[in-house]
Amino acid sequence: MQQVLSAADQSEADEILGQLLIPQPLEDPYPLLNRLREISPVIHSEATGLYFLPGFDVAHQMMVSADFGQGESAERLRSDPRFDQSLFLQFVSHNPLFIDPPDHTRLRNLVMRSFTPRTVKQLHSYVEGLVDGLLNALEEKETADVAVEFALEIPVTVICELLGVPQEDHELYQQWVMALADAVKPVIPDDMLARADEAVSGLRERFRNLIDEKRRHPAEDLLSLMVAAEEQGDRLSTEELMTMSITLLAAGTETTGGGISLGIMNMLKNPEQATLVRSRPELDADAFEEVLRFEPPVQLSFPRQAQQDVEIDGWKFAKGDIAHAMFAAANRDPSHYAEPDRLDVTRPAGQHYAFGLGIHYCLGTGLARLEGSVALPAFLRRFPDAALIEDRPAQLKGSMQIRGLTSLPVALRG
Amino acid sequence: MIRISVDGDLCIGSGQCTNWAPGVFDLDDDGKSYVVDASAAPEEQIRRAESNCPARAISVVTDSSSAS
Repeated sequence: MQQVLSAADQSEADEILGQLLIPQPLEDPYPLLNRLREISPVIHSEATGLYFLPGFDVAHQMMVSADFGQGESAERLRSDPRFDQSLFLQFVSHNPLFIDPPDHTRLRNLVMRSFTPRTVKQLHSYVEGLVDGLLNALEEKETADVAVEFALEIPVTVICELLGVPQEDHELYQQWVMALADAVKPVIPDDMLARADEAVSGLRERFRNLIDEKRRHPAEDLLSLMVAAEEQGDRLSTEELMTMSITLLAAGTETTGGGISLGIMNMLKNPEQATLVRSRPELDADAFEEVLRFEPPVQLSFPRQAQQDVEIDGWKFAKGDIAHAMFAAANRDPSHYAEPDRLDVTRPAGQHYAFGLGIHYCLGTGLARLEGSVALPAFLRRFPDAALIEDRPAQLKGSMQIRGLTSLPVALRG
Repeated sequence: MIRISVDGDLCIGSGQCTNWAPGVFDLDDDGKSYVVDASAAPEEQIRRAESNCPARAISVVTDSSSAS
């Protein structure tokens, strides 16, 4: 069955996609995403030629299908006239998210043993201590920017610590990471690309030196493990190690930071949910899952390209077709969630797409869950009267792809 | 009786199964999932591990031959 949309539905869908596909994040994209999913679980955008999948089931099937891969994603980046001069575009074209098996499998296998649940478990008390220290610093204040002073600090500190980046460099890395995240958009404006190029240049130089140092003096950190990681006599080259380090830093910070800051914002907008979390520690993990379902920091998948003609959940795709799974829309599919637009931390923990799906499923899921399930409840308990400030609303950043907060002003004592 | 198998070639080491069905699955030193004890969690949880595996590496089949 290939459902063809009526002319009216097609034109409404194109109109909605036009509103979503701007380089800025919308204040409230969810009514538009819900409407898109109601029109059809699969939408073909007339303006871009791309397929968008807001339906839960078809998004699932597409993401796990071996018939969908990166295909010519890297070639498409190379066709950007700015590619030869842009360290950022070159970095993106080499990062594991844009690579198909077998190369992807090799890279993933070389680093995944550093992210096993056992490794993550060992970090539990470290993360608790870090969160506690940040909360102690906030105690001194009446109001705080919780996005910058708390939410983003946690993943940046953790990943820098894991990679063995010296403490005094953390702030510099945080600035670079923000420049990288800014440039993750379907269409990248020149000024944002220039800042991201500078960031990649700085990060490459720092990581090259760090990698040299870890080769000479291996330590217990992740970078040393990656330098030493071998599979069937294979090793990561310095170039691959630099790309992998920047990928881990970029993929593990703005996303987790966004999950925590958006999560705190949504909890403060739903005080009865915050009260539940404060009083019931057994909900800590579920509460973080629910805020990720409700407002995922990664709202749209990277493109997937059909490697051949293929049928997915009854929908036909031709070889070369490019599709994006709409995680934020699928996460509110009423066929999978009762009252999906309601934040409900007591919801039975179920699947959501905040970490993607398939072979590119987030490598750092366990680490993100650890950070979020410690940070979110700890903040709410430490500041039981915390409230949003009416005339200083949270500032959004990102696009329809990555969503986060530039600032989240909070009155800590209400 | 159910029979659980994990395809090591498909497994991407997400560790989701160890969350959904603790005690049933564990990850080896390479980060790949394997079955430790099929009876360590209720079948419902094991089925959830199967359906939530991001790489579809887990299969759970009802083994009628061993039913007594």
